[in-house]
Amino acid sequence: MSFFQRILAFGRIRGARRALAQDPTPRNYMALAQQLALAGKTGEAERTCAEGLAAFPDNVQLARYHQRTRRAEREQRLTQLRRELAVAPRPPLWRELCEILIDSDELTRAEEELSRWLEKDHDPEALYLLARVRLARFFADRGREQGRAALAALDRASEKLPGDLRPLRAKLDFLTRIGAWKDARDCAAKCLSVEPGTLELEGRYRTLAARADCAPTFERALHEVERSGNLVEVASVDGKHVSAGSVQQLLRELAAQPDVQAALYVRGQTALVQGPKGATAERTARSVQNILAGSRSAARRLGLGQLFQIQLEGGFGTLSIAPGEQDAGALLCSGPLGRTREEALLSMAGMNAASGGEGAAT
Amino acid sequence: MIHFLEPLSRLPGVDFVLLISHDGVPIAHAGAGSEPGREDGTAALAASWLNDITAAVAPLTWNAPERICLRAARGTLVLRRSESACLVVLLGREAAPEDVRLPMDGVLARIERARHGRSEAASSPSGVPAAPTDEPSGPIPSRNHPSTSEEAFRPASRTGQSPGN
Repeated sequence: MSFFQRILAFGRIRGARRALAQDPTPRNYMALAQQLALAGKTGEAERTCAEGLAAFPDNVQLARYHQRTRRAEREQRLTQLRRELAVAPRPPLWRELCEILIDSDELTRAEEELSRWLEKDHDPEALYLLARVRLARFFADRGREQGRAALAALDRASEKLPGDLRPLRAKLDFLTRIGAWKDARDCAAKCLSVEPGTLELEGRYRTLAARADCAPTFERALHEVERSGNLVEVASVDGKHVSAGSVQQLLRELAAQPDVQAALYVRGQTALVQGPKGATAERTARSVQNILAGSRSAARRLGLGQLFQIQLEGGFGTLSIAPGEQDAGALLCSGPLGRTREEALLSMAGMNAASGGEGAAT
Repeated sequence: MIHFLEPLSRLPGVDFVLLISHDGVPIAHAGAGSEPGREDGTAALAASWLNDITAAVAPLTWNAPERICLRAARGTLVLRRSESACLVVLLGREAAPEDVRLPMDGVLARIERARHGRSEAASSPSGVPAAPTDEPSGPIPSRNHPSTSEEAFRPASRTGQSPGN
C-alpha cells in the first residue's frame, strides 16, 4: 500500500470510528471492520467484529465477517510461520503451521509439512497431527480406505504418546461416529485407564457398553458409512446448526429484490431455493452444486487454497456463489451483484443450516 | 501477442497473465511470477475449469459464461472468454477482481481486433491487406504469414472455432 493510499485509508478509518462512536449499530461495526481489513489491519478488524458480536450476537453478517477476518489473519500467520521455518525450523513452529493447515482444511499441504517434519525429527506430536489429517480426510470422503488409514495413524500415535489422552479421545470419537460401539467401548476403557475417574468418560463408557451387544465390527461399520455416506453419530460441531427458518428468511428477502432471479442455499445434496419453481429450481440447484464441486477442485489444484467466492457473468446475468466449509449460498441476478447483496450472500455461507425441511428443492 | 499482455501484468496485484485457447493450449503469457512450465499447468486447469462450468450451466440453457472469477485464500483467478481465446489473470490476495475488469476487457478487445485485422489480410486474394474501410485497423500491422510466436493463435475460420484448430 502506497503512502497516499495509507493516508486515504487512515481518513476513512477515522470516519468509520466516529460513525460507530455516534451510532453503535451492526452496520457501523461492519463498516469499520471493512475499512480496517482494506487497510491490511486484519487483527484490528477481527477485534472490531468480536466487539460488535458481543453487542449484537445474532447478527449473521457480522459473524460471517468475523469468520472471514479470522481466516485472513490465519493466512498472514501461515506466511510468517513459513518464513520463520525456512530460517530456523523447530517443533512449536511446525506444530502451529500444521494445526492452522488442518483447521483451514488444507489437508494435502498439512500432510506434506508433516512428512517434512517427520523426516527432520521423529516427533510423536507429528504422528498425532498426521492422525488428525487422516481423520479429517475420512470425515470429508467417508471412504473405507481413509477410515483404515485414520485408525492405523491413531493407533501409531497413541503407541508413541502412551500417557497422552488426545489420540485416544480422537479414536473414541471416530469409532463412536462410525457406529463401531464395541471398539468404541474398549477405547473408552483405555481412556479411563489413562485418566481414571473422569465423569464424562465414565458416562460415555456406560452408554457404549449398553450399545455394544449387537454392534457391527469396525470393518462392517466402515462399510456401512461408505455405502450410505452418513455417519451414525453426528459430531458435536453439528450442534451449531442454524435453523432452516433463518436461512429461508434471508433467501426470501434476497429473492424479493427486483433483479434477483434466484437465491439458493446448498448443503450437501440438499438445497433451499427461492425464485424458480419445480424442475427449474432443481436444475438450478444441481448446477450450483456442480459448479461448486468443480471450483473447489480447481482452486485446490491451482494452489489457491480455500475457496471464498465464485462469480459467473454472461448473457444469463450474474451468478455469485459463496461457499462455506460444508454449505454455500448462491444468488442469480440480472444485473451486477452489488455490495449489499454480496455481503448478504457471504453471510449465508458457513451458517450450516439444517436444510432438510420445508422448501428443500433437491 | 505478449506485448498485449505485458501492460496488464504490470498492474498492481497481478501475478500472472495468460492467454489460452479454449482447449487449454497456452498462447502467450506475461508476469513477474511466471516460472518455467507454470503456464502449461495453469492453462490446462483454467480451461478444464471453464469446461466444467460450461457443462454445469448447460442444463439451464445458458451459454458459456463470459467472465468467471474464483476468489480463494491465496489469490484470485479471473477468466475472461472471447470467441477465439480466453484471458486468464491470477491476482494476489490483496487485489480485487474488479480492479482488472476494464484492463482485461481492453486487452481482449485489442487481441480480437488484431486477429480480425490479420484475418482480413489473409483472406484477400493478392495477399496484401484489404482496401481501407471505415472500420479502424488493428493495432499491429497485418502480415501474410504469422511469426513463430503467433503460430498458436491462428485466426479461426468461422465464429466459435477455437484458434489453432
